Amino acid sequence: MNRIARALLHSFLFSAVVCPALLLFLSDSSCAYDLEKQVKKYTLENGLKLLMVKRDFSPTVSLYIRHKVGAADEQSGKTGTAHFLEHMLFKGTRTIGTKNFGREKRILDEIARTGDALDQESRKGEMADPSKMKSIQARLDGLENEQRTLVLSNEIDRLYSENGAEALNASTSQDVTTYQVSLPANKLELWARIESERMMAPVFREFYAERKVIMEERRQSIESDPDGKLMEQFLAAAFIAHPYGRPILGWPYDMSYLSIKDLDDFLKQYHTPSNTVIAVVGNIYHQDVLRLITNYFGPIPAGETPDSRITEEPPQLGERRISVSFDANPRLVMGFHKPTLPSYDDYVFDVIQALLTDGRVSRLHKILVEEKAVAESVRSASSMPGTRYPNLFTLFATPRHPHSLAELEEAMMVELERLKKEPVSDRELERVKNSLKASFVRSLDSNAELASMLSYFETVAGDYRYIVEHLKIIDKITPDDLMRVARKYFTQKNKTIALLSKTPKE
Amino acid sequence: MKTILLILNMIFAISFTCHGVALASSTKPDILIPPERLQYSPLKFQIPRAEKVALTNGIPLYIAEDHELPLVKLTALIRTGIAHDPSGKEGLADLVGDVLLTGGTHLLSGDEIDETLAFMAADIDCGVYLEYTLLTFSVLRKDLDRALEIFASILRNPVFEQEKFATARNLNIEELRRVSDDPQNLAFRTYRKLLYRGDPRGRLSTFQSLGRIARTDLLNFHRDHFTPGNILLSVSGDITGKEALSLLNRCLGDWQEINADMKTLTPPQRKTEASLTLLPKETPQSVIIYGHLGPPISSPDFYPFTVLDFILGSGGFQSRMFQEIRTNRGLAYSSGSFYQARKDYGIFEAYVFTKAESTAQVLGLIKDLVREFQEKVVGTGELQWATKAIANNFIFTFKTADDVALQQMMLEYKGLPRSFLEEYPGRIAAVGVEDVRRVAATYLDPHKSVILVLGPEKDFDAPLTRFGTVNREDVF
Repeated sequence: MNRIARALLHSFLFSAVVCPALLLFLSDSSCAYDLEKQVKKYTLENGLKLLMVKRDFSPTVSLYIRHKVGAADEQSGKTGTAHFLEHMLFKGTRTIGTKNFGREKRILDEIARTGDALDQESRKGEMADPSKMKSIQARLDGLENEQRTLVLSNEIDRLYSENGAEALNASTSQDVTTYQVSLPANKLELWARIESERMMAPVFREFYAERKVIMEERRQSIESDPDGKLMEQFLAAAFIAHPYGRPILGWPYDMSYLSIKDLDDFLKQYHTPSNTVIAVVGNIYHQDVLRLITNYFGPIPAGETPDSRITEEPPQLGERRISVSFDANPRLVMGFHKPTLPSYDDYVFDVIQALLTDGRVSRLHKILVEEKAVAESVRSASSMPGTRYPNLFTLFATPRHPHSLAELEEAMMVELERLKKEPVSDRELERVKNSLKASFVRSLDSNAELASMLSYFETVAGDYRYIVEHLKIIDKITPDDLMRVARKYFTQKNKTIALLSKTPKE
Repeated sequence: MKTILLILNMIFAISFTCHGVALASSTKPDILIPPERLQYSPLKFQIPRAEKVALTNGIPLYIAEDHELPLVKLTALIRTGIAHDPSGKEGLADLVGDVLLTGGTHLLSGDEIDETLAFMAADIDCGVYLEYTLLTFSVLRKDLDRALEIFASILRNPVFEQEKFATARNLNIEELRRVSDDPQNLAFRTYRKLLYRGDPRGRLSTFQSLGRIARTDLLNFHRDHFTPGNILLSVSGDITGKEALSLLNRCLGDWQEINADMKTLTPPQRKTEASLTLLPKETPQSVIIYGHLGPPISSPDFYPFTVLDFILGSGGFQSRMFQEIRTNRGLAYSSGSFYQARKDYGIFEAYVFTKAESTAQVLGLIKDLVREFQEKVVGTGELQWATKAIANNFIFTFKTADDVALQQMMLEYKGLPRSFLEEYPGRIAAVGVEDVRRVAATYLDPHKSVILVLGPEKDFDAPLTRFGTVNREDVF
């Protein structure tokens, strides 16, 4: 929401400025609106894919760049790299954010060496030499001060904001890293100029201060947030081998030692054109956009197609149950392993998700919150924590005092069991399908949301038309499909549950 | 009244004619054109306007058409909010908002409404804010007639079924029980009490106040506040102005005013002294909020104060709070400010979430950054950046037809002239460095600041007493 809207409406967006770490994506589906006719798709010679939709209500344009890389692609011991890199891509380029890059480069290299030396000593833990650390730290401080005289800090943001940008942001998920902004339609070239250079030649200025920022981000969204902490512990229990079990922000130890080189290697490997999708939606002319993007992004060398060797999660052999001690009221998360798109069962889970928790008429709300009154809230997500690999159907709930977590869990299981035995009525199924269709139509109302959706599914499903096909498949789903899927996946053996309370029971 | 819509009356001339060879095909940075030297074709933009009509009983209706998608959105603004809770029954307005949606009407039970709306995939929501309530509705075009009937009966004839009321009240009690689980939420909630001390806006719901509320209170509150003279409407999407007027007249036009006595809120009193409050909580990260009352939207000071807030903390990475506290020192992930200008007063709040061990350092930095506006004029470069940014961003006020209709409804609610939006970019551009210093002196007097720190006192880097006398606040 922009300034006027904020002045006139209430709104209170206090942490919206930068980088939500988690991207929860609702699978949407299609309707009468003929999306395929609206979308123009091109692939540049270097492999970069471009999707465009012309819409003229407002003289603005929404721009999404997505790289098919996320926390799941990180090496063990270097968790948090993808997210930290996303932060560092706001620090400028060789030509943006500097007074003299030649001089700055020499200091930057020295900062990297000095910072590495400091980290190396620090990692010795109790064996570290305090006086040595102090002297390296002093040297690092000196270099950073020297560099500061050559830096135009936050210059990318200045260029964007001065030109009227809206919703400049970036985000990192397990699967995808995203850079997004909306601009007045005549400023498109500014975006192409900035983004093409930051994709191939970013400069990691103010590195060590930013490393403290991501630690604060962790403190904010995990250490002081019971939901964040519970989710982290839950995922770590649900995945014993696959990287989906690691936090996007990273484990604290890894985060505190990430180096400039770690980020640079990751950038070179994954932020390549063939691993990138751009979506442009708004008041545009296709040919102009295509020419502009070819001019700016075309020269970026294709690079190699990244090859993350990501392990497969072995089958679960029995229920996993953990408790989390945290100074907050009780809550729980439970999940069941399931396949991801384009498996047919994944579509069935989208229906189950809506059936169980979307709206007041949904089963779990109706029964747990209203009738049995054991819950304060119940939500679910059909693909946690990502969609590139097999994932979890997940349920979150908070009990209503004086009901216990055990009572809440039992009531939830009763409803999951019911799905296995009782076929859902035609009317209930139709209602859920209607709501999936309508939510798709609603998402089209915003240029930014459409750009987000197109680029997301082009990236993770390999083709934006997944959105269109989605509803066609959803439409075919029968009550028998729901029973079959419930029986197959909602089993004791496939269940992980994490319970948060002040004094966990053993 | 003529039903001509001006929303599509926008002229734009954009072309990305090639800007010569400089930008083309080179990966060498020294050949790239500097971003400041890029040329842009002018963006011609005329502010889209919503059509304004009135129902037969006088309810104003703003309409903005857009027929691209088969959707219609409808919003009712009711000039009543949390601040209108009767003393001792804090939490009532919120409950009215909840049970309005769930508690049925004279036509249908709550369950029937839920089922009918869910089947047509209509979204209905009720947001209860400090001084007003927004009932919003989004429906597919094909279901419009039936859906509007339901919408109107919810607005006009809710019955607040006892069972649904009991559920909602219990849920609000549970929410209150959980209020301290989220430190940021807890801090901002508590801050409201401090900023508006002695004013109805500062009263918070408690277990006792929620316990005192009965179903009849909801019925009475609705009767007194949900009256035609207290309501504004806006409609957007796949509907014509004529159609909207006739449909809404049919279900709301004969609704007559019963109680025309509107209780208007007087603006909160300006502070006479500073306050510093500690809300103790064992958590690794402190929440610091610093604020003042600010100028109302109708004041000439609104424009310079908007610019001041942008430079201080709401202007993104380049704002001073972000730059100094986050970028330069790595002391926070969230650091910024906001300014909300209401009809006859405004509020300004700056906030930082920082590790407990840097609490005092950060509070000192916030105070220094605010004081700087009084002691030094802002640089002309910084001022130009801010005014250009705000003016260039202005077109995003009108992204969708719904924005257009809503904005204009809000103008009427705030008692602003229709020319307000047209004049806004020019008035922002006219703000000078002295204006900024003047409003800083008027509204940001440190001796009248309201400060809240939530955090674990034992881990602070220095005692808060170094900033003055510390009051202690408890969660309940």
